[in-house]
Amino acid sequence: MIVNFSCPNCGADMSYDIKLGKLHCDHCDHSEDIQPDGESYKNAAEEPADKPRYCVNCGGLLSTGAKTCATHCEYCGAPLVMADRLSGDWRPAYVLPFELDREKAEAAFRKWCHNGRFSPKGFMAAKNIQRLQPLYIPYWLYDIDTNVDVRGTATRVHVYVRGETEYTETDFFDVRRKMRLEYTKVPHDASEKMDDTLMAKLEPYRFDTLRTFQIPYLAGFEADQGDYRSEDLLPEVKQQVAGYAAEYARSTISGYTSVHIDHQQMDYDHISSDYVYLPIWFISYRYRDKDYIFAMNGQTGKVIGEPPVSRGKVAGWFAGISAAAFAILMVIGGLL
Amino acid sequence: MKKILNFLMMLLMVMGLGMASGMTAFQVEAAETAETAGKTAADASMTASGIYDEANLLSEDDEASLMARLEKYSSKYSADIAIVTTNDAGGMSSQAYADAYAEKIGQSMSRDEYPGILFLIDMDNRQIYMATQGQAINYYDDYRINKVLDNCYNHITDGDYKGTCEAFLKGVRDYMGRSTSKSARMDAFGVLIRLLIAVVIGAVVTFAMVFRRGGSVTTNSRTYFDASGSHLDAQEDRFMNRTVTRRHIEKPKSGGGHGGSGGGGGVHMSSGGGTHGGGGRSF
Repeated sequence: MIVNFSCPNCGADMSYDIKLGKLHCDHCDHSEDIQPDGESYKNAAEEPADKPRYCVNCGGLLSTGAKTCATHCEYCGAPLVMADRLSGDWRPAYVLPFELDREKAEAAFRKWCHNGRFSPKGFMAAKNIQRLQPLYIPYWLYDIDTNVDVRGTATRVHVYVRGETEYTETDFFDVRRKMRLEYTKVPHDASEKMDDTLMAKLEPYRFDTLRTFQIPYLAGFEADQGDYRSEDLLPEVKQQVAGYAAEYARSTISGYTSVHIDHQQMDYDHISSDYVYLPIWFISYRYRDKDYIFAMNGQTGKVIGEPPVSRGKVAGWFAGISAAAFAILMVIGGLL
Repeated sequence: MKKILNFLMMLLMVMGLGMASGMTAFQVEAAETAETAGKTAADASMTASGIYDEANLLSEDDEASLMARLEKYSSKYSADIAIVTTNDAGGMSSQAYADAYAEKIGQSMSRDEYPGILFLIDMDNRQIYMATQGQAINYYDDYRINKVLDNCYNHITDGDYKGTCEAFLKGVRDYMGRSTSKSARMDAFGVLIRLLIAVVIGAVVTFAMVFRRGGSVTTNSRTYFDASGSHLDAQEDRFMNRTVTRRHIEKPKSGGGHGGSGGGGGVHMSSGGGTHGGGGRSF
């Protein structure tokens, strides 16, 4: 089922407005609150999943991928949401709405690439910057409770001097900590094409603004269905949480000169997970056979990725700065 | 961004300094070209340049050959150059005698006037002394004075008065009119060093401007920790045993202090009120 949202006022397409937090019609400036799946204003076309899909707005044949959940019609530009791909197992529990709009994302992008000072030709062109896209990335959020039991030997060393003799007293202790530690909303991206280490660098998100998922939230964004199911990623997340728990348990053994862990046991219970969409601004750029990525957390603004750098421009700056420094050194030579 | 701004501020300051130093150099030149006017009128028989061999240490021939060189340098550097010898300093120190003599023969007494230099062989105090007047004070710092006196000293200890005077004249030739600042003594090596420093600065600054870390992990073991549902089930810290080791320690030896003394000439005022530089050495 392909859905787009028509303005009840003028009939034009509506998309989610990041500043307003509502569906907004750019044509007549009308806005609508997010309703459960936008029942009252949705404009839907039923299509069998295996058949070609057509735009609900203009009827154009869509060439979207098999996992596309939200996109724009390549002919009329209407924001489209594939509601059938957001149902059943792939029905997200929550969505974290964007908080930073295009204006802020572009400002961060320009700052990130030094206003193009070292960028290859064309990188800062308006046409290129327009490729900066707001994406909803599918994630699993895990709640995991752990039981940690660590035992070890700790020493406390006391050194003091009496007369001409230095005494080193070493006290040995048997230490043990047994605790229950809860970790909530540990995220892991469910997308195959997104690099896991890059995605991990975009964390943390503040999950206090999670909203119950409704289809209208995706209007105007790009989103794909997740590639991994909760259980596929669980071993990796367990390992991550085990590291956290062990570190925490060890940190409570304090006041000693040295601590040696002899035995560590960990088990998990009450594991649960939620399928969610988290917001990022994203652009990739191919330069000299290498892919460069700019990604920004759509909520906090944290930026990751390295900008492409033109060797010619860097050489120019290097030569210019060196020449200026040389000229100055020659002039002030007498003072040195 | 902030780093780059800081660097630019520094660059501007450095450029300002550079320009200021350039200006002073220019003023100095201007002062030099406008020299002649300030010569003090003196005894008609005495001129600010010349050889006053009152102790008769030099033969006629010596004096003639020295005079030829002296006049050559005097006109070349537009400087007053005098060689004075004496058997009787009149109870004055070599410095006082040399300063007074320089004033008597009319060498300039103001620091920014044309250069004057007087070399004294004082047989009374058994000292050689070099007095600098006017611009010469700027050309002869302690380092250069000592260098010249070193050369003179090698001759005076042999009783070679002509050689002593020639060493002095060589000192005039080497340093007169040459600023003590390093820029004036710039050579190929200096340029190379500056080039090297400039390239290093260029590389470091460019690197700092281009370099951008691709983001780092900022989550830690506490990010997703939920304290509300977490609790401690068991905590044990059981003392087992104690070991003690002993080590004999050497008393540290008390160290002695050290002293040093610095010396140096610099600029002083003569009894006559003139400003002089200079330095001397006993033989």
